[in-house]
Amino acid sequence: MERRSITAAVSSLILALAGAFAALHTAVPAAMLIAAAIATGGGAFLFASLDARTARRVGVQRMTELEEHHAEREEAARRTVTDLRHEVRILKDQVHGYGETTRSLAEAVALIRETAPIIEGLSRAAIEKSERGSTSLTDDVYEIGRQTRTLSESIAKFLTELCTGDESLENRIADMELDLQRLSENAAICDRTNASLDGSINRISRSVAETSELLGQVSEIAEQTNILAINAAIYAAKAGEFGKGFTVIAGEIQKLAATAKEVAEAIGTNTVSIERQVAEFSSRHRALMADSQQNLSRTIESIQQTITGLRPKMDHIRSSIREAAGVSDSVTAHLSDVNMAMQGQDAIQQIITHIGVIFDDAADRVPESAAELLREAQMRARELAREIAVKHFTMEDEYVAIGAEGYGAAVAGRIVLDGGEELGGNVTLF
Amino acid sequence: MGVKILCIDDSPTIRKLVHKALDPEGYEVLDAEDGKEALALAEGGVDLFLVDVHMPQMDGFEFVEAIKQDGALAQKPVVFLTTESSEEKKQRGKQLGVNGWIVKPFEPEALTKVVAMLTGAS
Repeated sequence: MERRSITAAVSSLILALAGAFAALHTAVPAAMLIAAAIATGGGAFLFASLDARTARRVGVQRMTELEEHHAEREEAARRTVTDLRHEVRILKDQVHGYGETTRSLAEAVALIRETAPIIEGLSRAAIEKSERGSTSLTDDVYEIGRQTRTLSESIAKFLTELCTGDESLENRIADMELDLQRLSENAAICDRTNASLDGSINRISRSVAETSELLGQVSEIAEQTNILAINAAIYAAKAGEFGKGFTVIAGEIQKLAATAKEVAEAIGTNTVSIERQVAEFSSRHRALMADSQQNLSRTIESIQQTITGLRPKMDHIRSSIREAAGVSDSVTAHLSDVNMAMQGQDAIQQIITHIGVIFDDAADRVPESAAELLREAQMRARELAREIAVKHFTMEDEYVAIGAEGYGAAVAGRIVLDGGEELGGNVTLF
Repeated sequence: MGVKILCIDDSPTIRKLVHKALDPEGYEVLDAEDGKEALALAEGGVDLFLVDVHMPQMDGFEFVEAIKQDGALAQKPVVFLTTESSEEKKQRGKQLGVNGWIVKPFEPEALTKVVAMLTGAS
């Protein structure tokens, strides 16, 4: 805007005010304003347009406008004040609400903070318990695995030895089959020997019979010789002195004949005895051989049955060797699974540790301004946190973990029975 | 004298499982709870280190940095045995001169094979 027009506007405004004062019949301020208008604007403009009536009319008009404007502003201000009062009331209510909320939040945060050590204690207890359990379990499982593997390997070795090598069951069966063959051959030999013995006995019987017959002839010869000797003695006696020598010879011949007869009878008796003994031996031998052959047959049959039964068992043993070897491999695989499962246990322990650490870390990051509020709520929160925790506890370990009174070593008393035997674990008898 | 393996892990379960995996293979397994204890044990000589990353007092990376400063141990193979599997951490291990990285849970057979390979026992 140009300076001239600004000056004109200011002069016009001052004149308007002068008019207003003129309208209010206050001459001095109007004159002063007119003078001011002269000072700010060009005198030609002022004096050319100013006369009293005009000034009065303009002043009245401006005054009316100002009054109307003032009333409007006053009404607007009144409404604004009313609105502001209303808003202040709302804000007061809100501030009060925020205060309550802040206190509640502080209590909640304090509660969470006080829960942190409980969670930490429980986490530590869980980790220690889990670690002890998993360590012990690992030892036990590996020991069971070791023993199972050793046992299966021993079984496999034993069964392998049964199937292979000089002393193997396989060779023993072959030996038994060989023995069986020999036994069968022996049985055949016995049969042949038996038949041969029968032939010999028959031959002996025939020889005895022939001998008896010959002895009969010898006895008859002796008898006839005796008769001849008697006749010779008779004729020798008739011959007198010349026959005396012949009588002696006849007597000797008679004696020889008698002796020959006795010998023949003795031989006959012995021969009969031998025949009887051979017959008895033959009878006993037949009975013995019959028993032996019967036993041999039973033995052969038994061995055959054993071999027949052992053959499929050998197949079963070979299958068992494979199974025993498989058990060892299976144990190794299972132990590997156990190893990995135990590592999972360790991972769980780490996660529990992390939960506790994160909880602590988060609790420590509460701003200092809030911490002031927390300090007020802390004592109550500590009691409340323990109350909440204890409400959910079901194990002594949990009480011990947060240091609750009346739990732990002092309670885990030992009970000794009458015989001196001590009950393991935490036992209470009423 | 057998091949000596030093397992450094704060978890007794893991230490025991490493024993269970390597003892039957004829390795002499020593174990330590953290890097400081391991450094003391390593003075007796070690053929391979099995190291966890996250441990109290001295973590796995710090431990490796320490042994890499030791003339006698600097050349011994190091395998990280850890639940940590981030590529960033692996790269850090590689830059430190670590020879292997096995993520838990580990398979016992895989562990024995890696150990055999790095100790020349295979």
